[in-house]
Amino acid sequence: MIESIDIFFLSYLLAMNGVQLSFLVLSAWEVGRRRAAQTPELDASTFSAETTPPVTIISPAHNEEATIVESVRGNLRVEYPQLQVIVVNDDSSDRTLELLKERFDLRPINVVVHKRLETSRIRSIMESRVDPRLLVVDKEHGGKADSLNVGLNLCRTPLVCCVDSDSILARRGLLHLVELLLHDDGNTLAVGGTIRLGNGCLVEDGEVKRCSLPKGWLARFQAVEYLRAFLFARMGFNRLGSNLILSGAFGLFVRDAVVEAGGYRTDTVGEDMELTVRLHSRMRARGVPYRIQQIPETVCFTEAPESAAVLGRQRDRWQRGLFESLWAHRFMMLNPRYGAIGMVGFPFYVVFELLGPVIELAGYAWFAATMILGVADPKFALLFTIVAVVWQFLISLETLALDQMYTNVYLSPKDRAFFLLAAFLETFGYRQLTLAARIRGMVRQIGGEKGWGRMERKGFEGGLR
Amino acid sequence: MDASGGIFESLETGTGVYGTVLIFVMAEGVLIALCACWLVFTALAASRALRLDDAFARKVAPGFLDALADEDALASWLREARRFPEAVQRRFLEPRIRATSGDLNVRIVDAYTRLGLRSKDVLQAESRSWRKRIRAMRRLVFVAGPQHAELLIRRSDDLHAVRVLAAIALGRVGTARQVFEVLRRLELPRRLMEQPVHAMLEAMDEERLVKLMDLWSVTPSATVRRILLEVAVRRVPWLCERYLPLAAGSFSTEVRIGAARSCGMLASASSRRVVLRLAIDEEPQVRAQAARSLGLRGDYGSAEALAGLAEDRDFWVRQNAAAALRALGDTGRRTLETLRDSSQDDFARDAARQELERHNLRVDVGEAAS
Amino acid sequence: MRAVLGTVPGGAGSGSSAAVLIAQGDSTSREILEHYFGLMPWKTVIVSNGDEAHQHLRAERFDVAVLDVNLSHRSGFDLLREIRDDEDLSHTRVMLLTEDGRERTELKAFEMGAADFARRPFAPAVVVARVKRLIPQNESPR
Repeated sequence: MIESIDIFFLSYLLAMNGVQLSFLVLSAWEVGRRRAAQTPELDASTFSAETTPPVTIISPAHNEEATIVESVRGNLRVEYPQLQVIVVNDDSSDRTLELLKERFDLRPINVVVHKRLETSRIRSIMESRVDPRLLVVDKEHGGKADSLNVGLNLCRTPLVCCVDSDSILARRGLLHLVELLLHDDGNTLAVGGTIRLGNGCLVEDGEVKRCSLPKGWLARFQAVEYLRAFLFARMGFNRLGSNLILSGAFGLFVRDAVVEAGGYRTDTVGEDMELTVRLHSRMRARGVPYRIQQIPETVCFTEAPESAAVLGRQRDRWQRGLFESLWAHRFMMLNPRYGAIGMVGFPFYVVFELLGPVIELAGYAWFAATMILGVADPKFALLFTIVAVVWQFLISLETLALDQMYTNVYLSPKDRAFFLLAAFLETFGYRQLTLAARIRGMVRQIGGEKGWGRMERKGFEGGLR
Repeated sequence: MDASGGIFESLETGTGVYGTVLIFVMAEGVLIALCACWLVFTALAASRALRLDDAFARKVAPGFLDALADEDALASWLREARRFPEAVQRRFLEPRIRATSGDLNVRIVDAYTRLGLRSKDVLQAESRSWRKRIRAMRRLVFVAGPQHAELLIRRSDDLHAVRVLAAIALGRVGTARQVFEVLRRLELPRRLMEQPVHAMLEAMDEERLVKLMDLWSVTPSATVRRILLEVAVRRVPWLCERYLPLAAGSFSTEVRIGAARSCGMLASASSRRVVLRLAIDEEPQVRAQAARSLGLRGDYGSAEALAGLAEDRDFWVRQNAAAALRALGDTGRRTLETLRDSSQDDFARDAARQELERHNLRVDVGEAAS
Repeated sequence: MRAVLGTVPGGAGSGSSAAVLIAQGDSTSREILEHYFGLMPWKTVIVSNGDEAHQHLRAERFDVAVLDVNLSHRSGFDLLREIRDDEDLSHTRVMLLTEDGRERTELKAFEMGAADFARRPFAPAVVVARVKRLIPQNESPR
């Protein structure tokens, strides 16, 4: 009996390994493909073309006085021909709005709002005298999703880009995302790019000058995690048909598709995840061919939490958001009508991202139990550890290889050495930390704190994706 | 209780799961080794390439621009360059080809060709591997000559990226007929994908563009016809005028949109008639473009027409009409004020108010804004 | 590739006291311009970003500035505005040499007071000829 439980855990691990190994192949294939398909020669032509679609960057802000000015300046500096930036101030209690008024010389104007989505009340709309592309909206408190919806109502361009207000955009990131839309005939509705940590980077004037692995260990672990997630997991998903979830820190969308789907939902903590899942659901149900993709290119740098407490809250929130998003669309699970998303993407997220922490916790509990009861099987324990650590290391190594192939951010031997070290040490502490946070999130979610109706202060404390 | 060690025992006892796990571990070990080797290998290759590029930059590069002026000097420069691997030659020449135009560009492309690089590109352009084809096309966009037109036309039946590059190259070197061939076959499912057509037409000189416009009426795709109008109005406006009445009466919405847009950049009486006709078109997109064009033309006499459009059913028509009135100076302002004060239509009043505010803002910041 | 940053001493007949500032982000363009401007009798300073351009403009007097629109730190338009608004700098005539091929950029350049506008890819001989035309006559070599 003990044996069979051991075998259960090992089988789960094997299944995960098997999936990860296939992702190894898929992601390498996808990154290689993207690299071969790059046409930087067309950048200048895309930039200069009158037909390059204008983009609106929507940046919801709540108590961001520390980073808001730099972030907005960075957004305005993005290398893109026709750009509009809308900052939505979600009733900040700090000096966010004052700073914006000072630095950008704002003047109230009367703009007709094409109100296709329901939102909380807008107090005023201001235009900048320094840069007419900047619009700042002050509104009553409603949360991040609500702020994004306000931005969508004001957006007059065919494409819209939702960015967290403590993120810094890469200069050409937006251009390359749009180029994907221009050159890819698969009716792409949403595109995401790789998001990296801004923690280890030298930022001047809203521009990232140099990037290396952050100094703190917590940040380092996160850097490894992020790179793995984007270069490894999401590239693999690209090959499989579509990405179920795009990151909330930066996503480019076709405005009409989002508005028509109803905009962002304000009653969930994972509004960005939920939106993407909903887009999949609607388009599949309609049978219209479409794509939601990810490119390996770095598009955005985000601030990661440097304290365990904040990190824990962030992961807690992500887990709850994931749960809500998946639960709301649970009819997609293993439903052939939803194609690759229903049969592969969705189940993957359920089994490995949602249930994963639970099984992992059970695994630890089981191991502890067997140890205490003296029936521990050293063979099992040993193999379990080896497989877990080795596989983690392998994926991280491959991630570095993919980085080398395409994105080229961690190139110095020192960065790489620390990257691999972090990948190795992750299993001994960091992983358990995030595990605890995620379990907490699951418990809260199931326990009834479903976030329905309760407008929690969707804090932007340091940890935006 | 199974406390005894012996991994291999379990293999013998046939516990499949453990065995599989072991195999996985070993496989992963192998993969790790491979990955690590690949990383090391590419790092070494990169540093080697850097060394070669540096050597090239020190020994061969400095004399390049001077050598281009003299045949003998060039011949000897090429000999020196050939001592280096092809990749190094390319890394040196390609950015210089992309950065220059005119006479200097022609001479650099000549050097590129004499090194045999262009013929390699031509060969690769027909390769069975799509990766090679794209790479080749990326270069041919800049170095292809008129003799490669046939190749470029063949490539217009390929992946989208290849098609885009081939189209641009053809715009540069192909005859009007050849460009027409490509236009005929182009599918443009979405507005977002029109860049290649624009890029191709921009790359054509005026003489060939005129010849291409002669074929306007027989161009099958409505979208392409619209784009031709839009490009023509900027490059050869007198020719665009000739086709306007025809375009305005077209069954295709796309073409009428193009006609409405083009009127914005013309000032003739005939284009005025066309735009006023399109301002009452049944399609809102056409009306919206007509409104915009009326604003661009700056013709104060159209204020009345625009007042009517400001009360249109469609959001964009109203917005464009109000913005257009703002561009019509005092007449426009008075019309906006009338709308704001006495229109029956809520939306029209809002739009008018919005534009009047904008107008005031602009007047104040006329100096400050860039 | 050698970093091309610094001063290019004038070519034959360096009696001229004209000075030209070039700010280009692209290294290949800088190299080519360095070569062609090196043949001319005026002093040329070549920089790669907006901040350095700003520093040089403040430090010495330039007759012509050839700027790209897309520069790091400060864009060509920022510099153009600065030159136009500042009395000490307003004698500097600006030519925008840029990859940005949009019509509105060209219009904006002239509206903001640029003396000339050219697009990349460029023909260097033509760029030099245009700059020569912008240099005040009494600065030419005797």
